[in-house]
Amino acid sequence: MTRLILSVIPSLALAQALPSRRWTEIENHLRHTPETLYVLNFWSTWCRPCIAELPHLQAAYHKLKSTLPVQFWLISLDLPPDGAYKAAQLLRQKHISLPAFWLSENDPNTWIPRLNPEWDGAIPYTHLGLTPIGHPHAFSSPQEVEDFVKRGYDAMGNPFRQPPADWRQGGR
Amino acid sequence: MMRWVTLFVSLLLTGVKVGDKAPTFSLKNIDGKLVSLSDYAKEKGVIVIFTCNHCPYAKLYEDRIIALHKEFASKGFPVVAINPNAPEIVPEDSYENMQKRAKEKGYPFPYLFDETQEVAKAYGATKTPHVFLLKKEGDDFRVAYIGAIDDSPNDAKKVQKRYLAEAIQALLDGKAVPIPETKAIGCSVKYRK
Repeated sequence: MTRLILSVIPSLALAQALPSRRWTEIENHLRHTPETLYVLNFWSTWCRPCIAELPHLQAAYHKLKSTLPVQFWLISLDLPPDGAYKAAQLLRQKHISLPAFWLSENDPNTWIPRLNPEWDGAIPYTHLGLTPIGHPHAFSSPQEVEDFVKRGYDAMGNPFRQPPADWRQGGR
Repeated sequence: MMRWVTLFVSLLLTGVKVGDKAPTFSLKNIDGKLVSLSDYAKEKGVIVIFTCNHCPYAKLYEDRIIALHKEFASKGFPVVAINPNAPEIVPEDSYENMQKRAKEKGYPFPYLFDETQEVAKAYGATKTPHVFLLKKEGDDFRVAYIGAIDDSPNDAKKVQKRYLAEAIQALLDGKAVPIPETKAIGCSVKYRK
C-alpha cells in the first residue's frame, strides 16, 4: 500500500490526470456528433509503437483539420491506479496536445465488440468513429495517417455520415 | 466500404481459428532442451500462452498463469508459455532474460523461445498475453479457445469471469466451450519487419 501511494504521488506532482471516460460515454458522444469524423487512437504508455506514432497522429491532425471535419482522440488504456497520470505526463513530455482520455474499463469484452468485433485488443489500434473502419497497426508517418483518414472519409461519404444503425449486422 | 472491411479481416485472420488443427512446434526451452507439441500426446490438451517478460499485461498475469498450470496440469491441461518477441526490438525479452525471469518466478511450465517467430505467425498471435487452448482429438490437437485468461487484467482480485478456466472445465466435462473467443488488451507481438 505504501508502495502504491509512493508511486502515485510523484506522478500527481508532475501532471494532471487525463479525464476518465467509460466506453458508453465515448460512444454516446460519437453518436450525438455525427458531423465530426472522430479518429480514435487506442494507446498506452507501456506500448512502445504507440508512443512512436503519437507525433504522426498530431502532425496529421494539423494537416487535416483545415479540410476535413475531423477530431483526434487519444484513448489511454493504461492501468490503474496511476495510469491516467502516467499517460498525461507522457503526453506533456512529448508535447502532444491532442485531446486525450483515460478509459475506465476493466474487461475489454464489454466494449471492444461494440466498437469492432474484428479487433482482438492488440494496440496500437486506430478506429474511425462508429464506422467499421479500423487500422490494426502502428502508423510510421503522418502521411500514412492522412491517407487512412482520407480514404475512410471518402468511403463513408462526403459530408461524413454515420453508417446505418444496422451496419454491424450481416456478419460484419 | 466492403473493401475496407475485407482488408481489415484479412489482416487479422491469418493464423488459426477455433476448430482448426493446431500448428505443431518444436522450440528451445529455457533449459536448452527442445519442447514439442508432440511431447504432449498423452495429455487431454495444452494451454499455449504467448507471453513475454517486458509487457505490463504479461507481468500482471504471471502469477495467474502459474496458478492455472497448478490447477489444470494434473487434470490433463498443462501450460506451455512461448515468448514470440524479437529481442533486438525488446532486449528485455531475450533468451537470457527469459531464463532469468522464469527462475525468479519459479515457472513450473516450459517457457519457450520462438526465435524465428514462425510459431507465433502460424497461430496468429498478435499480443502478449494471448491464449490458445488446444484439445487433443485423435492424433491431432485442435484449437478450442482463443483470447483472454479472464475478465480483469488490472486486478486479479476482481476477476468475475475466468474465460480460460471455464473453457477448460467445459472440455473436461465433455461440453462445448461456452465462449470460444474473447478479446484481450495486450502488448503487440514485436515481429521483425
